Amino acid sequence: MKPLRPADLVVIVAAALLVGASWAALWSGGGPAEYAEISAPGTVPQRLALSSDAVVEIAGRLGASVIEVRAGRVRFNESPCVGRQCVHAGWLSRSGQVAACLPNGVVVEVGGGRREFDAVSF
Amino acid sequence: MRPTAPRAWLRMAALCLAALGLAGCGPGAQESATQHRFMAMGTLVDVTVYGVPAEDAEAAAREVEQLFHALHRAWQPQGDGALGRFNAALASDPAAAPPDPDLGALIAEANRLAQATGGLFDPTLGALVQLWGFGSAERLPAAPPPPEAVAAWLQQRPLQFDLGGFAKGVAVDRAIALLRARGIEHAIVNAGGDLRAIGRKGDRPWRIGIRAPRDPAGVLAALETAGDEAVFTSGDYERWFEYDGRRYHHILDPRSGYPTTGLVSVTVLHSNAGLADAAATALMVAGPEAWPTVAAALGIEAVMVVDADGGIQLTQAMQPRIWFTDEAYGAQARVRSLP
Amino acid sequence: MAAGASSMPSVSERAPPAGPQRDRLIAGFAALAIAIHILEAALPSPLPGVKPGLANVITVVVLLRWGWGVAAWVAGLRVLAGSLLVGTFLSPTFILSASGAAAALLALWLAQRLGGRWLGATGYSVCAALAHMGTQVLVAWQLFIPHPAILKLAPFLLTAALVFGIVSGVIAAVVVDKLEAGPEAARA
Repeated sequence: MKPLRPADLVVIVAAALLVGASWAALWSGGGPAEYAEISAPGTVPQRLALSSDAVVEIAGRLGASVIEVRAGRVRFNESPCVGRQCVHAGWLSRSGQVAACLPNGVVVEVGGGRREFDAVSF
Repeated sequence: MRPTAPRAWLRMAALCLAALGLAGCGPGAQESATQHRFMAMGTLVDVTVYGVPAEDAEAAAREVEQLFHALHRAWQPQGDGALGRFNAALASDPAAAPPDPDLGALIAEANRLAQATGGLFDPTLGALVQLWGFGSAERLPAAPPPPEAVAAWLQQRPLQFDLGGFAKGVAVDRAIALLRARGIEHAIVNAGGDLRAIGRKGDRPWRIGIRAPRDPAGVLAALETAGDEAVFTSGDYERWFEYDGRRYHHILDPRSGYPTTGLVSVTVLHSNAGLADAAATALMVAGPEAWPTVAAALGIEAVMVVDADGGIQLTQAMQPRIWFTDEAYGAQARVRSLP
Repeated sequence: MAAGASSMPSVSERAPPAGPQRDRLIAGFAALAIAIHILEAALPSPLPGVKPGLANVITVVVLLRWGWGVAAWVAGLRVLAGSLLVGTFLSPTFILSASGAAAALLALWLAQRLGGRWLGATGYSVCAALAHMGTQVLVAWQLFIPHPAILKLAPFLLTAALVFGIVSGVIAAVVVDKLEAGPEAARA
């Protein structure tokens, strides 16, 4: 018997596709970060693709927060608030991660793919 | 009689497609939950709703926003809301009565919790909070108050209410009640990391992450919840400032007048969000050794705490609920039994 | 496309030798299957009790040579006797290997019905291996460890099953060839 008949190849390819689908279905949680959604008081949320580097100034209640996108990640560079928790949050890279400058009213959330968690307690 | 080749290949193809289709409907639930975000009570509030048309969810979320704004105005320690006026009255007359029944009931409940925790949860720290400067949502203090001022406060104990460690929980409870009154059975109200979840997300429970205390972008552990449960976390990383190399955070120990030490975060599960809020605060004050006693006194069964060295302790009821994102956390976690 | 059909008689056309010789061969394969099962029990696995199903080589060989009925018999005997010998009868390991074997047999039966004319040892083997592993993971997840981490492991295990399936398919094809060359060659 030939070890590999054409029909066998069909089965192998179909099986490979199925296995590939199982990777995609089960491992894409909290994964592909595609865009950063930036909301500020009084404006429509804007989206920045994480694929292209950018530095933007977002006007908030206290002044302008500077937000940077680089190498698929996003962070607050500067912010006029006193606590600077937003800046200390560092680089966000996974879908569902959020950094917010509450005093200034500016929120940055990473979106894309499927979320790992429905909510985070902190 | 040989079946014609094309028909059999068709059957094979159908089988393959069916298999792929099945692979597609995997364990991932469709993302048909709607999320609304707004700022209220000095924090970011997320209202997630499942199983309801988007417009209805949006309308309900806006009502929740209004509710939060109203409660914030009413329960702010200063200003012309109910609590502000009450505190002003107390400054001149310590026997003054709360101006409205809702506030009165809230104060009574807060006092009851204070008694149950032996004073570790203390709703009367208003003057101390003002002294430290943690009262404002916009600004953080730059330096700790002079030690004499703290000593003076400890001695005088002026009666000023600050419901910070309790009001948010009550607000979340009321928000959930509001959503239920609008016919919504599956939702999460998350007020700056303190949340209550009801129902489930379609065919799977809600997945809640618990943030790592020292890593704003990291998740320490996760749990699933379905039915009705509040997950409240208090931490020393929420509002803090650094001075002279030391970190000062916003959860104050009524016994010393200074921020608590020993624990960096406490996570409490309970169906009553107000209780969970007060408990999380009280346990932070209780510290890494004494917290089980306080938890038992409040009737709280599921607790997880992280101490200053990163050590994790949890109750037996919490252990099966929690899934650590890193095996190492789970391996070093210590189970404490409640008295 | 009916390529291969002219050079390779299909399962139903070939009449295997009947009688005591056949029975001895089948018994021999059953014993081999049990031996493989026991060996597998000694292998470590990321998920306790979940095994790659190496004994499926035997199942596929028996299927191609003597039909599904005999294959089912051999597989059933393998699971039962194997678990009794290893000491895991009625344990979670037994449930896992029984459900894996049952799923593999079902997959083989379906594969035979839908593509028996064209499938060779490798095709059958891959179907059996994936059904075996997929069912084991599902049973482990539903019955024993309802932890989301199981699902994270699933793609690894399925990939391994695919590879094992291809390899054991090739082995099975070689064995079937030797069998058909004649009983003397089969003993070699």
